[in-house]
Order: sequence, then C-alpha cells, then structure tokens
Amino acid sequence: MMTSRLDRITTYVVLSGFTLAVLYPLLSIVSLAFHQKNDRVTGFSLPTTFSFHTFVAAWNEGNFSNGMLGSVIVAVSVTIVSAGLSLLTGYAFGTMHFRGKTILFNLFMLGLVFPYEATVIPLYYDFQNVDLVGSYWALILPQIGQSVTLGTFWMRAFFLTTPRSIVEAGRIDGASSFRLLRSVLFPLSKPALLTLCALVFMYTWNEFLLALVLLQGSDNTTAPLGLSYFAGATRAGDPTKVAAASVLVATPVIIAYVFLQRQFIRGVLAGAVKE
Amino acid sequence: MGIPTPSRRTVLALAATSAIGVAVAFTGSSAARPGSAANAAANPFAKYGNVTLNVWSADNQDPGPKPVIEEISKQFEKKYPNVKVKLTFKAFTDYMKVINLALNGNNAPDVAEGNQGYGTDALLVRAKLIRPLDGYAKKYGWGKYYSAGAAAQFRWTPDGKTFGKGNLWGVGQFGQSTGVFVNAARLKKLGISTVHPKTFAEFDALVTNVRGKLPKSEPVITLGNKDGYEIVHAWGMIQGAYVTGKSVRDWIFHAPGATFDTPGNAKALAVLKRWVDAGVFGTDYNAVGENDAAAAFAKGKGVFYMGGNWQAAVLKAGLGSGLEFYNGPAGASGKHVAIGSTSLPWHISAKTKNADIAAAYIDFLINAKSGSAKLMYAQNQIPAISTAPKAVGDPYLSSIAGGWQQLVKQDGLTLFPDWTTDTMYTTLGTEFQKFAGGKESAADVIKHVQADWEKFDKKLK
Amino acid sequence: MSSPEDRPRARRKLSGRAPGAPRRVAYLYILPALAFYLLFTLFPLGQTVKLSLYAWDGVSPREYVGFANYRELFGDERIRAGFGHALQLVLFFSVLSIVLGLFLTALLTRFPVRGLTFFRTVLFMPQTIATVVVAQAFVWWYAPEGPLNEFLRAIGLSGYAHTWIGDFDWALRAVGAIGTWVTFGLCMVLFLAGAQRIDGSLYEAARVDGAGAVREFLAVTLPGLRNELVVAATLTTITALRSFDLIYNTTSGGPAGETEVPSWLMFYNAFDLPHRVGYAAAIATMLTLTISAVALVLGRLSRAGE
Repeated sequence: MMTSRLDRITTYVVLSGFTLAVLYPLLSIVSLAFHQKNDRVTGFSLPTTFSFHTFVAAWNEGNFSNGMLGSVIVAVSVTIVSAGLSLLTGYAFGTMHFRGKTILFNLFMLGLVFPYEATVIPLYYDFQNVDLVGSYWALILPQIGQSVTLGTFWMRAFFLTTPRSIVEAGRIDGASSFRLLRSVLFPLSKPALLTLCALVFMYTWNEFLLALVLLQGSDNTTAPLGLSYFAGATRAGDPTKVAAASVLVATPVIIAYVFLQRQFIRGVLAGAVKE
Repeated sequence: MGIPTPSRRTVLALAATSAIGVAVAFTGSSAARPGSAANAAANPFAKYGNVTLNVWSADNQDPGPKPVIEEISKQFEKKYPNVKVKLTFKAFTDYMKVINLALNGNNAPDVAEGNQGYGTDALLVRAKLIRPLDGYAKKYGWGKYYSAGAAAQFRWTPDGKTFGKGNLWGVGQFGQSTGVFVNAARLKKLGISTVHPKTFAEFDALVTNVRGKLPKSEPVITLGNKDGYEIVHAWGMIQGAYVTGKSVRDWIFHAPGATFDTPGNAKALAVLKRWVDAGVFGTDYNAVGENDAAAAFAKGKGVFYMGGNWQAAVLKAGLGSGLEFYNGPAGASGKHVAIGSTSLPWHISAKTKNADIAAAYIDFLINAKSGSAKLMYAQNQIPAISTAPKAVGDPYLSSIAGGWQQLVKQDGLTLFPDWTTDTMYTTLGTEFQKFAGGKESAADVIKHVQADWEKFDKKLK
Repeated sequence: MSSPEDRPRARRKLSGRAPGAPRRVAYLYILPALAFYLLFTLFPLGQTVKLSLYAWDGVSPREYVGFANYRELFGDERIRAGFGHALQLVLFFSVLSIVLGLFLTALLTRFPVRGLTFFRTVLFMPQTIATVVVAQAFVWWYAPEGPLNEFLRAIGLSGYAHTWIGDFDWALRAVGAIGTWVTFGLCMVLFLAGAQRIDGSLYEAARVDGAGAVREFLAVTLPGLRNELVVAATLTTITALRSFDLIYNTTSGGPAGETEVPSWLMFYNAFDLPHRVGYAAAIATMLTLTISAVALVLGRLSRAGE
C-alpha cells in the first residue's frame, strides 16, 4: 500500500473528528447530568462537583424503579421466548425438508420489512377487548411476534452452516429430532443464540411506540416511556434531571454493547444483509 | 399535543415550593365536620348498602387540585359512611386519550372528568357514555353557581352536535382564566410607575415603553410557544379589547353565521404582529415550552407573563411580593374579555348504578361550602362558582380569584377557541406560529382557521 | 470477525436443500413461532387495512365508508406534507449517511488502520441507544443555550445560532441530522464488511493501470459494494419513513407542523383528539404500502446486479 505519512495522519485526524462527532452529544448529556440544577450550564462547562445526587433525584421523581422493572420484565420475557421459538424454527428451516417451506419462510421474512407501526391501532383495540391494555402482556406478546421473524432468519442461517454430517449421524443413530436438537445442536448454537438474545434484548429495551399506546392510562411503564413522560414534565424545571434519567435508561444496553459489541454489530449486519 | 408536555391546565409540580401555598391541615378541617354518627341517620343513601364510587380525574397536580379533590372525597366518605370513593388520577394528555374507552368499558368509572369541546365531550355525549344532569342541577341549585354564559360550556344537544345549548352534561370545579402577571418590582426599577393600566391602549403603550428600556436580548412578555398554543392565550387578551365574549363563544359553538373573519380579530392580529415585530416576545419563544417560560419569568426574565392562572403558584414562588396580577385591560367597551373556562367538567357515567350518589358527590366537589373553598385557595385553586366565598388575606390570590369572578360577571370568558373542532388545537398552534414567524399574513391565518372551522361545521350539519 | 461455527452465511439461496427426507415434524417446530407472528403481527396488519375502510371514533358503532378515507387522505394537505417531510428525512437518514459511510470506508481500507475496532465500535454505537435517549441528548444539544449554539458563539459564528428544532426552516433538517448521526456508522460498518470481501487482485490490477486513490475507489470499491449499498439504502430509507420515536420526543411535529411525518399523523389521528381511527388506519396502510414499495424496488435493484 502506498500511503504517505501525511496521508495517514490526515486519516487519523478525520477519523477522530467523526468519533468526536458521535461522542460529543452523548458526553455533553452525561456532563449535564452531573451538574446541579442551579449551575449555569452551557455547552462547555464541566461539572464542578462530582455527585450522583441528580441521578438519585431523577430515579425517585421519575419513578424509574417502576420503568426499569417493567423494561426488564418485558425485555427478558420477549428475549427468552423468542430465542427459544427461533431455535425451533431455525432448526426446522435449516435442517429439514418439507412442503411449503419456501412460502412459510418468505412469510416470516415479510415481518422483517413491514412497519410494525401499522399494527398498533388494532392491537390497542384488541387488547382493550380482552382487558390487557396497560398490562405488560400487551407489550410482550406482539414483540415476540415481531422478534421471531428476525430470530427465524438468524437461527436458520446458523443451522444451514452446521455440518450436515452431524445432523445425518444423529438421524442414523435413530435419535428423535428433538433429542438431536437438545443434546447435539443446541450446545453448538449457543454463540448464535447469544447474538440473537443481545439483539432482541436491545430492540425490546429501546421500544417506544407500543409502550406509549398500549400502556396508556396505566401505572405500568417502561424505561423509555418513563423517560419520555419525565422529560416532558421536568425539562422546564430542571434539565439536569432529564439528562441523568437519559443516562440511566441508556446504561444497561450500553454496558451490554461494550461487552458484546462484536455480537451486536454482527447481528445487525446479518439482519441487514437479508435480501 | 403529542409530547406529554403539560397542558394548558397543568400546574407545575414545582408549585411545591409555592410561597403562597399555605400548608393545609387536612385533619384540622375534617375534624371540624359534624360527627358521622349523626349524619348516618340523615344519610339518604343508606338504602344502597356499601357502595364504592369510582372516580377518574385528570387534575393530578399536587400541590394543586389533586389534594383538594382527595380531601373533599374524604369529607364525602365521612358524611356518607357507606360510600367509599376510589380515586384514579392520570396526567392530562394520557387521560384524554383513554377516557372515552374507559367510560365505554366494563369497569367504567361512575364519575369522571371530560373536556369541554368537540374533541372529548361531544364524543362522550354522542356515544351516550355520560348522562344529562339537568335533574340534579335543579335538585342541588347548580343554576345559581354558574352564569348562563359560563354554563354554556357544559351544554350539548344529545346528538353531540350543537354545543352551548341543550342539556347540561357536566359542571366544573375550578376557575381557570388567563391574565397579565406583572413583575412590578422590575417595572419600578425601570423607572415606570404605571403598573396597572386602565385600558388596553394604555397597556399597549406600556408594553412599547418597556420594550425601549429593556436590553434587546430580553423579552418584554415572556412567552413559551413551543406547542404553538400559548401565544393564542396572549392573543386572547388582545382580542378581548376588540370583541365580546359572546361573539367568540358563538363561533366556538358553531352558531349560525359565526365566523373567525371579523374586523375585531383582524385588528387584534395586527396588534400581535406589531408586538412580534418589535421584539416584544424576544426571539426564542417558539423553542421554549409554556412551563419553561413560566419558570424563566419566575426567575426574572421579562416584565410580563400573559398566560393562565394555573401558573400562579410557580410565578409567585419565584418573584414573591414583586409580582402582581390583573385581567387583560379592557378595550373601548370597558369590559374585560379573556380566554378562560372552568376546569375539566365532572360527568356521571351512563352505566353507573349509583347516579344519585354520584351527583351528590359532584355537588360536594363544586359547592365550595364549609371550608372546601379554603381548601382550594390553599392549593392556589380558584373556586369556579359565583357563590364561592372570597379569598381573604393574600392580595395576590385575591386578585387572581377576583380576576376570574370579574370575567364571569362581565360575561367575558371566551372559553378556549380550540374546542370548536377536533383539530383546532393544532390548527391554531400552527397558524399562530407561522404568523408570528412572518410566514403568513393575518389574512392567511383568518382564512386557514376559518377553513378548519367550516370543514368541521359541514360535518355537524 | 468470527469463527465459522457461529457466523451464519446470510447470502445462501433460500432453497438450499436440507438433508433428509421430508419431515412433517418440521411443522411442529414452526407452529409456536408462527402462531405468535400471525396472531400479533400479520393479523393486526390485516385489521388495519380493514379499519381503513371505516369511519370510527373508537367507541360508537363503525360505519363502512369504502375508500372515503383514502380520497380524503390524498386531498389532505397536512398528510401530503407529512409524506413530503418523510422523504426529506430520507435524504438525511439514507443519502447523507451512505455518502459519509462510503467516505469513511474509503479512508479505512487504504491501509491497516490501528484501533479500527475502537472506531467501528464507537461509530456504530448510536444504533444501540434508545431513540428516546438520543432525542433527549439532542434536545439539549440544540437548546438555545445548548452545546451547539455555545460552540457557534465561541468560534464567532453567533449569527448562525438558531433555536434549531424550534425554528421553521431548521427543525426538519435538525431532526434529519440526528438521523444521520444515528445511521452513518451502520452504513460504514456494512461497507467495511463488504469491502473485505472484494477480491484483492482487482485492486492490484487497478494499480497496474496507474489508477489513483479516487479512481481506484470508483472503479473497484464502489462496484464491489453494490449489494451493501442496496442493503444500506433499504434499511436507512425504511428507518426514515417509519420514524416516530424521534419526532415524538423532539419536536412532536412542530413548529407549525414542519416536522409532522406519517407515523406521527397516524398516532395523532387515532389516539389524540380527532379520534379518527379509520382515517389513522388509512395513513398506516399508505405508509405500509410505501415502505413495501421501497423494499421491493431496492430489492429488485440488488438482484438485477447478480
């Protein structure tokens, strides 16, 4: 490669510029969160004291123990159930042969494209009819329905790459299809499942519109929904608390991202390169 | 209206620090109530056995209306020991999205607040979710509580099409009107002695005078127009100098021949435009929310705040005794006219089995008798009814309560113009933002607002 | 990037023959997921289409009105403006992001960049943060006294300070810029992955021809990224067209309706004062059709190149 020293320096400078552009808005809200209400906060001022006071206040006033708990309940249930179901569909689509397979698979893939925003109106009235509006079920059930499409795509792709000999050896041994899955393929699939779980957890944790509509009028809430309400009601009085609340809501996923960044990036890419 | 920023009716929770909020000794006031044993004998609802009254409210501000409603409910339970009141509070924007479904559902509340206008109450009436209260109004003498002009906001024909006439479907508890808050201390510092102008012309001159004396970067009138609506409140006071309250109400009610295209409206828009161009509102008012602006005014930004009395406590907390209040000064008619109405009207569900108890409960909420007026004043709430005792002791609170009563007496409440169609809230917000931003002329505003009105008017025919 | 075991090859043909004889048990494995998907996703989608043919306030009996909602929709200036705003957002979410992504890819593929993982991790990060949080960060960022305006004032450009999301002319662009911030890292990561698959001999051939860096990029890298470009365009365009969370939490459609988009108008009509559920369903259906069309057209584009 023929790159001059100047070239290289320029490249690093430009890259650092972009990195800063991504980090600056995030860091400035973290900085705001560490300010006190009466500080005159501007774009560059750094906090003069270090204290989690604002975070504690935001947590209590915005009732974030409720929101975080709600998000954990929803995100964990959706993640576990849809990962489990996707393991099964991926296994079927990836290792078995049956009539209508292509049509069924394409049906699933449809769910990756169309906007789920379009389902929220009838979901609201349907759940209203069975008294589920305001309960976490109203968030869990539809999000499982949405997540199994990505999951099916992802787990099928994994099973297509498992050596055929393993599957066939299992069959010749006379193992039932379920035993083969449980004792041989499931252990192999753990890395792929981990990626899927990371993705589904992230999407579910961050979800907003369903929570906004389907938890209407209820005391149940999720972290992003709680943040949205809290920000609307509090920004006027004290923007530092809104900043602190934002940091709180983002933290779980950012921690997961830092540890699992390869899985996140790979997962989003594969989900994207679907055709 | 989408973002859950607090609505026009919202009083900031910040009012917690209210300087005029007298700590209410709940136990004290309820202990003064007659013993429950004596009342049990006179309890006309004893025959119903144990009853739970399910009550929904969007007046969830605390301090503010919520503790008032809670305390009055306790008093009601004391008076009727077999009745238990179960209160459910929700934030305004959230509440208005679900109330129609709640009243339609299997566990419909017995008593619930609606919202005046074609957006909510028309739907509740049309869908037969609430019942007319005319009989109860007679029984409890509610006719004395509200002037005819004020009661019109609760009246609908049963098809939910004609507003302002027909049966009475609800009654309101608190008076919520708009007026001028003045940082009088600041005015004095600027060397201006006129604090309380007698006419709108004087007020207009005062605004211009102050503009000349303040630094350019500071607004004369602090305004938070992010949602597009607060400038309409300010404009309502300008409009009030040129039109009558009834003419605006007729337009809101879709009375035959009513139109937004009036000389009075055009004149009022011209004044608003002159103010905007002179920098009376400063420059960043479209980026600031209503509550942000109130908070900024309370911290000393600007000299006037032209907005709702629901901000009274927040403003007082910041400015203390330097703050004064008066209604928008009158025009040539000598009468005060401004945007205002009662708080959300209390309704009785069409499905309730305990309508009589519900009506008694509503009467308890609104009648402002025996200490409940005091409760309201302690929470900076103004009793809506004409027969309410006056606020005494605190000149600021008295001026706000007096402002409401003055508007009622002079028939000057225009109500809220967004009630006139289900989309008018956003239409007015959009049009006034564009007008203030120099994107549209006054003629455009009048044309577009009237077009929204006419489109909806056709549906009513 | 990963070991072969856990890296599914996404590009395999759908009809790749699975081992063994036809197996009915497969249906059993598929059934639970399919049930969730049909019941809570596809079925409601169908209901939306059906609702779009009715006038309904959510409470009173429904009234069948045929295509009246659609006729009104096409004549409704506010709706038309909403779709127009969504198209402008595409410029920011998609076009600008792809250009930036390509630019960074060109930079990063010229020599082995140290700390590549770090840069990639950081630039991709906005994808993982909840939009509600992103919105809060940028509402502060754009505030009258926020970091952006303070920065402009500090470098002597106070004339360029605006209220941004409160400004008629800037609001939509300001929101769009947030979209660029969120998606350009994704585009870059996509393109980087694609560039790694480009045959190295193509570059050598280009160099033998004496091609400069720019020519090399245009002649080798860009054509090699054809598929990734289509994927990036599809993904970011759909994100732009769907955007709701961002609008709701920054401008709520304002000022003066300048940032109203279809999904926001759907929400407003269905759940706010208008209570026009059928009309909102018609907006949702139109949005679905638009997005399907985009996916279809761009999908064709990618297949045409194979």
